[in-house]
Amino acid sequence: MSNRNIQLDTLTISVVRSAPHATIMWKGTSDSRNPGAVLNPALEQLVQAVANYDITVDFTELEYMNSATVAPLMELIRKLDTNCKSVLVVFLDAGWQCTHSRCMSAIARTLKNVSVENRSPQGN
Amino acid sequence: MAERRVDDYGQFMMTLIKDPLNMHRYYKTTMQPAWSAVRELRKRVAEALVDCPADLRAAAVMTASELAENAIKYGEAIESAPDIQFSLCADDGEICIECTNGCTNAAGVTELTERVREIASSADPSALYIERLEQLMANPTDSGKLGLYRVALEGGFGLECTYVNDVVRVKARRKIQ
Repeated sequence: MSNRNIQLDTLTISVVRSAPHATIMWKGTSDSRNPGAVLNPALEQLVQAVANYDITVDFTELEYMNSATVAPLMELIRKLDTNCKSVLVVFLDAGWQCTHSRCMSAIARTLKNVSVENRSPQGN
Repeated sequence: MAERRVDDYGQFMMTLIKDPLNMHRYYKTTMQPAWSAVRELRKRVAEALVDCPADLRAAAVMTASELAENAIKYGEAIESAPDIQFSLCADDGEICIECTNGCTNAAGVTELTERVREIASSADPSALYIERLEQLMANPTDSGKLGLYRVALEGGFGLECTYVNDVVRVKARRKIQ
């Protein structure tokens, strides 16, 4: 098992690998003016490190993101779809994440290996 | 009865005493075009709506943040609008968020008003948002142009925009159910 983290201000993206599976967890808030400038190259390296894995991208601990975060997020999903065996995208079944889950489900229909799951908030 | 105080940023904030039958919330501030001000704005909006339902509060915080980000990114200091003016009013069953800034880029404002018009005339805001996501997927070097779609879809706000004498005013309104 090996871990790596990407840190951008109050956003932490942690990766836990245990072949053949890897979990990419987004945590905190992402409100930088140009998050892609940092995230895109870092996520490119991350995608290379998890090539051919079964991936879970977990957004359930992401408290807030601005719309500028969406572009690097979608680029990550697109690259994982190309480079990995399967990609499960997990959202919280509550609040603002419900909308993004629905939109991601619509986009996933155009991708080969991406599926979307909603998880209930803990304690519910 | 109103209580008037000046907060740490030298801003003017007026809080109305809660009426248990109606919801009156009002917050007004002047922002410098610094990105760090957006996080503080989200905090202040959340405080102003602390007793509101969580989904309404989250929608308002997000909307305030997106409008403020646009004002900082695309606005400019001019004589008649040297700062960014922000206001939030929740009253009489409606919440209204307004952001005003200067801008001499008429082409950019035209694009803004066209997007607001597109959103207003759309029967399905999710279709606009998903179409933009698809564009981002197809063009990885592209970015942006999602905030207003998000305000409409995720926030449930209607949008209006005026542009007079190089001053842009964007207003977001939502019924309080």
